[in-house]
Amino acid sequence: MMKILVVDDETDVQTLFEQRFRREIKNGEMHFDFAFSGEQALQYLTEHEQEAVLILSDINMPGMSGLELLGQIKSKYFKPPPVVMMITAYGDAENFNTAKQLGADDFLTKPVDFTELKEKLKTLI
Amino acid sequence: MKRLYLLVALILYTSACIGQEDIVPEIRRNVDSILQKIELEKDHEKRFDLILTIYDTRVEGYPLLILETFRKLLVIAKRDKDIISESNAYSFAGQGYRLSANYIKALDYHHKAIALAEESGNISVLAWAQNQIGHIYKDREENGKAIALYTASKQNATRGKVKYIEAWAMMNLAAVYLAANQPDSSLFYGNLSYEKLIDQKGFFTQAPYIFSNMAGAYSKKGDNVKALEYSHKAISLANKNRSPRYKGIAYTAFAQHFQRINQLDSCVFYAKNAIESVNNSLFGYMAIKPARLLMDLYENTNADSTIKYLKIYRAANDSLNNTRANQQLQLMTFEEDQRIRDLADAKTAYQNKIRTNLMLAGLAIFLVVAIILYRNNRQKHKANKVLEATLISLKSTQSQLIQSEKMASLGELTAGIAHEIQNPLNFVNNFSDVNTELIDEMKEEFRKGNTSEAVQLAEDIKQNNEKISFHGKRADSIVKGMLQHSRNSSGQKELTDINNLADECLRLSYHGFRAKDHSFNSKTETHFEEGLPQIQVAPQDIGRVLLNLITNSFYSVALKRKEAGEGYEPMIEVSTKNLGNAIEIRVWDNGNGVPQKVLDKIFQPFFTTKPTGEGTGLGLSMSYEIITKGHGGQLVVDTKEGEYAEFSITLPFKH
Repeated sequence: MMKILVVDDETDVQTLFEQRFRREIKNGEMHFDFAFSGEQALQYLTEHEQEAVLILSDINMPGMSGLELLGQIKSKYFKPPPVVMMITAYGDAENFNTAKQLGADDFLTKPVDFTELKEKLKTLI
Repeated sequence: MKRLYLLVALILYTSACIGQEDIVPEIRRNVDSILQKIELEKDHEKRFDLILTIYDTRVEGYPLLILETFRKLLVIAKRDKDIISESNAYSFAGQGYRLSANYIKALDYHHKAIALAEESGNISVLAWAQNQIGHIYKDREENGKAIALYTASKQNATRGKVKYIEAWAMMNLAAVYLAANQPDSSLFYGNLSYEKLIDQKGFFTQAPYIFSNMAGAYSKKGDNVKALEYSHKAISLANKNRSPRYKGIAYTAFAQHFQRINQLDSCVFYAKNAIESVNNSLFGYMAIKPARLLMDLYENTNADSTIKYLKIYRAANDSLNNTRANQQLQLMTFEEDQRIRDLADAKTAYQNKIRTNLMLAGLAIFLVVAIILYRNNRQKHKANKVLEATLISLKSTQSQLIQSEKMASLGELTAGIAHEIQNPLNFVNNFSDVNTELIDEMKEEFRKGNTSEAVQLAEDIKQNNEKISFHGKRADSIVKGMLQHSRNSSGQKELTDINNLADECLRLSYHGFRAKDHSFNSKTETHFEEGLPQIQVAPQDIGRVLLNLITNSFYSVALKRKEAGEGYEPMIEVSTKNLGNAIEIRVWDNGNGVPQKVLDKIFQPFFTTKPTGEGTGLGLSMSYEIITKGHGGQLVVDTKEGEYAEFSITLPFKH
């Protein structure tokens, strides 16, 4: 069972993921947790250390941005660091490079292609 | 014969007395009319001909009239700077004084006349002046000098082809030669002058004198017939002319002739007539000659008569003296009058000069003022034109700047908006994909007969569909907001929900700012009062103001974030409040605030604290205009440097 943390300020993301991955959830292949800000995500990671193997994070969020979160996850807290995939509407080179520099494992742009995401998750597992 | 003479003389004498009184004004009128012609004549040479005709008016019978003429002509001459007329004027003066027996003064004027005549270079004028001065010497019986002057005059007149003067010079030569006891020469010139004058206009004026001299010459030569003939002619014309002077001369000539031929009765008669002619006239002094004649005649025969004529002689002599005295008095009066007139003239001239100068000065000042005013006016016109052109170009620049300000903020927003749309699209696309899958599953469940499962799926589909609809509308409102911002505002006011507008603007600004600076983040809070009334505003304009204020806040907090680092948490709050008769919108941020020294400048156009190229400096000034002028509201700032800035908009509304 793969534990995945989704970080996004849009609450509808939860519904979307649960619907999109309902079969995998039903089958017990995947478990999703949700955080609606960078701060929530860090709190979650502190509370559930090493539980989430994969973090899917939005970049543009009020307060702590996805990139800050990424930086903190990769530099400070967690060993071994979880796989972090960044999802953003801003698919420009600058954003992409920054994310890579900070240690992002992958980079997806909105609107999210769930078929592609599923394949990536499968390869990761 | 004697009786006939008496009769003729009586008739002539009687007729001579008639109209004596009104002759002076008549002559004056004639003189004045000639002077008028002279004034009108601009050619000075031609004036001379007109001046000579004055002598035809019998003016010479009245010395004071001559002097009056002198004064009048002098005025014209001086005014026109006409030395020919001036010379002639002095000749008149000389003649006037001569006939008044004031020879010294007469000579003085004649010398002036000659000097000016020589200066004028006109030999005819010179001939005239010489002829006139000749009279002085003729009267004083300095015959040599007189002959020399008249001869020179005659020669110059011949060269200048002035028949008149030539004839007059000859007439005078005849008189002088007679006095010099050369009757042949006298007759020669007498005849010549007669021939030359006979067809001239002034003949009758001068003829008595010519005839008197000729009569004298014939008498001296012993030609009684001719002597009588010319004496009669002389008397007849003198009477016609009503000239006491020429009458006196003619009668005296007659008396002298009868003395020569020893007809003493006739001599006495004419001598008495001569005395009568000049009696009570200005020429009373001319009675000396006939009185002396009578006195001599009666000396041996009639003691009583001798005494009588001695008395007359004395009286004449006295009269001469009296006349002279009177005339001197008159002259002095005349001179005094003239002096006063001159003074008055000088005063008038001075006043005129002053008046003219004042007028000129006034005119000059007026001109200067007029020119200055005209120049000012023109400059104003020019300046106005320049200003108008500048105003037009400024207006066009202003509208371009407003547009570019809008486009600049639009540009900032566009990138953010384009990406912001991706978020709702993400949901729309994926939920619709999910729904497709769910519908397939639902069909499967129906086929299997699992109705409750199918209903559950339908419930999910419905829920997803609501989300699709919600996010679709969200994308729509983002696009609308952008379009609204880019469009030119019509300023049209419509009922607007201020909370919605503020929220939309906050989101647009946020994403717009994020599009430029991805690493940036800020907390945003909204405190919107529930149930605000919709109010009449121009939503695009108010939207622009809010976007501007919020974007400024983002700029400010981002700047502070860069300076202060991690410890600083950017925060922006947008709140609304119902004040009862107005709605207040506040945009608060915990950025750097507005420095006190620029606080009073921030609403001025083109004022910006941003680096060159980043801001137009029009945002706040435009916002201020929109709120105050466009909506009758207020836009005020409250700030503490380094801590916060709060812009408050108050929009009044009517219930």
